[in-house]
Amino acid sequence: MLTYWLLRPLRTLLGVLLTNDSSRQVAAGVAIGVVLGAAPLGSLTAVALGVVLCSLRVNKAAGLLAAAGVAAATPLLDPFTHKLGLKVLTVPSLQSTYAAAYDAPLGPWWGLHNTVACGSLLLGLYLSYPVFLGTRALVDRARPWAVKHIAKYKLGRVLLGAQITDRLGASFGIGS
Amino acid sequence: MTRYLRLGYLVPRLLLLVVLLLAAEIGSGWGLRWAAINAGQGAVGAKVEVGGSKVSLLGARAVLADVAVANPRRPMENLVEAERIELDFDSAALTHRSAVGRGLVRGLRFNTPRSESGALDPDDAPEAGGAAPAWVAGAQQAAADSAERWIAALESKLTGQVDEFESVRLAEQLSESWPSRWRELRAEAEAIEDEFRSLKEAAQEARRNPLRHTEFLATAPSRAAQLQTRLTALADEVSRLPELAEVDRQRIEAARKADRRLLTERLKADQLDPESLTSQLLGESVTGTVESLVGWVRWAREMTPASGPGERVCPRDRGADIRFVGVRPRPALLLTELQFDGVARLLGRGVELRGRVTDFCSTPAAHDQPLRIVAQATGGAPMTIDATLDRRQAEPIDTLAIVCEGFPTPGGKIGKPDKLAVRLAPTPATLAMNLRIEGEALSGRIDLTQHAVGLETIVGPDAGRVGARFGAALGQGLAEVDRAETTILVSGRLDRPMVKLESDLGGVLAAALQHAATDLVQAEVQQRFDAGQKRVDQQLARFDEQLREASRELSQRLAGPTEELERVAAAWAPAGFSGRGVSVEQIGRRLLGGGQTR
Repeated sequence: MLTYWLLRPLRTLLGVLLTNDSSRQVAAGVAIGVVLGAAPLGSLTAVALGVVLCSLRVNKAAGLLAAAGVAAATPLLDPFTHKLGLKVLTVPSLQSTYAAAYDAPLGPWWGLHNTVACGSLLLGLYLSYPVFLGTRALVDRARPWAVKHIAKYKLGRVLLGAQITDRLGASFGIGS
Repeated sequence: MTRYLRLGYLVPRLLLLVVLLLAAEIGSGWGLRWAAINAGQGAVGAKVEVGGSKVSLLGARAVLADVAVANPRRPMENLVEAERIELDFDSAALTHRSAVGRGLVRGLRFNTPRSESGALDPDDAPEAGGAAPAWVAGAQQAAADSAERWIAALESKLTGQVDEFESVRLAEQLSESWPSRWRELRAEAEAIEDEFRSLKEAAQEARRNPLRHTEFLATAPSRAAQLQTRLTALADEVSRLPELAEVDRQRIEAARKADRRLLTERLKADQLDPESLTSQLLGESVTGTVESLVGWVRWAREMTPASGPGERVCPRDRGADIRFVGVRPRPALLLTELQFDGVARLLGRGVELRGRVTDFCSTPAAHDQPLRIVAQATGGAPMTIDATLDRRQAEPIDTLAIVCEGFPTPGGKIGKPDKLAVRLAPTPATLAMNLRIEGEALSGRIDLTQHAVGLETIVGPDAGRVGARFGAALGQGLAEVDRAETTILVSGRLDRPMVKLESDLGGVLAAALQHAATDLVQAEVQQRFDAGQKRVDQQLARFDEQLREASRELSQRLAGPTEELERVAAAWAPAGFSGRGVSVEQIGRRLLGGGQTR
């Protein structure tokens, strides 16, 4: 059981590359995961993004991995995201809009009146499309190489298991 | 649609969400209980126990049962207990992340005993409570000492021995000095008599044989002249005796007046400080009430949320929350009304308490009304309480108004009951209190009106004659006191409150004590003075008698020699008898009653 929980993240990471999801789905999952990781934890924004990630046909594992990685990294960016959020949230011409949004039902639950939360979300949104493009290109390029090399090693085969091997065989038309 | 949405994934998770919501509906009661205990213990600093809890997320309702909050100062006692707390929240406000609701607290009880310690840490030593602060106890003790000293001093003065009067001393001195004077005069008279007798005998001898007594005959005139001079001086002195006695009498009379003045001064009772008496009689109830109030205010301040920042940018652990222009700040928790009922012990009496707390807000700056507590107590000590705790500004402002129609004054005592004491019986009074605490500064006043003042004198078995007389006189004066008004001015700071008592009770009592003391002192002065004067009068009467007797005796003694010498002198004078000498025959004739010599 312990081995299962220890190896599971590694298997998930390999699964991102080796599952039969398309590179678009993986890239979309990573992009949503980046935004989710940057969103304020415990807020309605994070819940909504989680629902989106789980509801859309995207690679969930890639999204969760990206979310976890970004969530861990965002505190390092707090000084920048705070300034960004402060700049955006104090734009005089948008105050009435913000106020209306905040005063709407569930408005405070989104957590976007916080400078770091707002700045992080904006940063995540800003980075999502480049991340999408970059991830898709990376997956397209890395997947054949990964399949080829991982299958060579015993550890890779163990991690992936027979089920994955069968899937790979089916994907590449090896056996039936 | 299904191309983008995983229905097979979504539906089971939606079902799971529903199950989770149902679980939350059921299990959030436990969460509330846990949160209430932790938040309560953090705020009070003692154990908080919750018997049961129930939360309805859909109904936005929470119920806590059998809540007990331990007293951090007295761990074996509960600060407050409540049978049931019901809170109804506004669902719409919850969507704005604000809990706005109203509630009901039933079965409140205060200071109930606990079966186990309520201290969070068993090693915590409980603070000593109940004793009056040093400033209160010191003032009270000082007042008590002052009043008791007064009575003791008066008693000591009235029962103590007074030194001998000056007038008596002078009279006795007079009685002692005059007899010796008389003895001297009598001795002088006897000496003159002897001298006259001797002169007469020598003259008779010289008559029989003049030639042999020529020397005597030469000196006889001068001796006779000296004798006459002494006789005259003595007679003058005797005649001046009444005049000298009168001077002494005047001295004694002046001493009498001085004695009366001195006695009055020495027995005069010291001035009493009415404030001290008031402190002694009412100090415990007043200082106890103020002390209790200050304690409650401090506790309320600790329990009441602070104002909190009202700036547009409110710092948080990460970043800052922005308050947008035009957005009305919403408090995290606002109880618009919390009704309560229960029982309490106020002023040492059990009362039924019923009231309501309005506008309790976790962030007072975000609310336009201050916290207000209005309560009515019925039963042993009926009263109305109206307290406002305003935390909307940086500096807290609290006001407290209490009106109690049957405020029980516990009574007081001055003096020692086994000797002489004045007791104020416990009587109901009307208490009106208005207190304002601005920041740390205390100000306000407490008006205490006693409609039936029960002041009475206690004369104990050790009171003695003077004490009994004083007690009787005081009792008559105190019987006329039927109403007293006391004002307690409260000032200073919360950590060092100052109390100033202004009461006509102390004044009335002081006046009665002074009046009784004055009457008693006057009577005592008169009695002692009369006793002293009786002795003086006796001495003077004896002196007068002695004076008369001595004058009469001396006059009689001097009468014979005086007449004879005057006769001789009168006979000698025409012959130029002035000490130049006469013939033997002349002297012989005169002393022996002979005729005129030529």
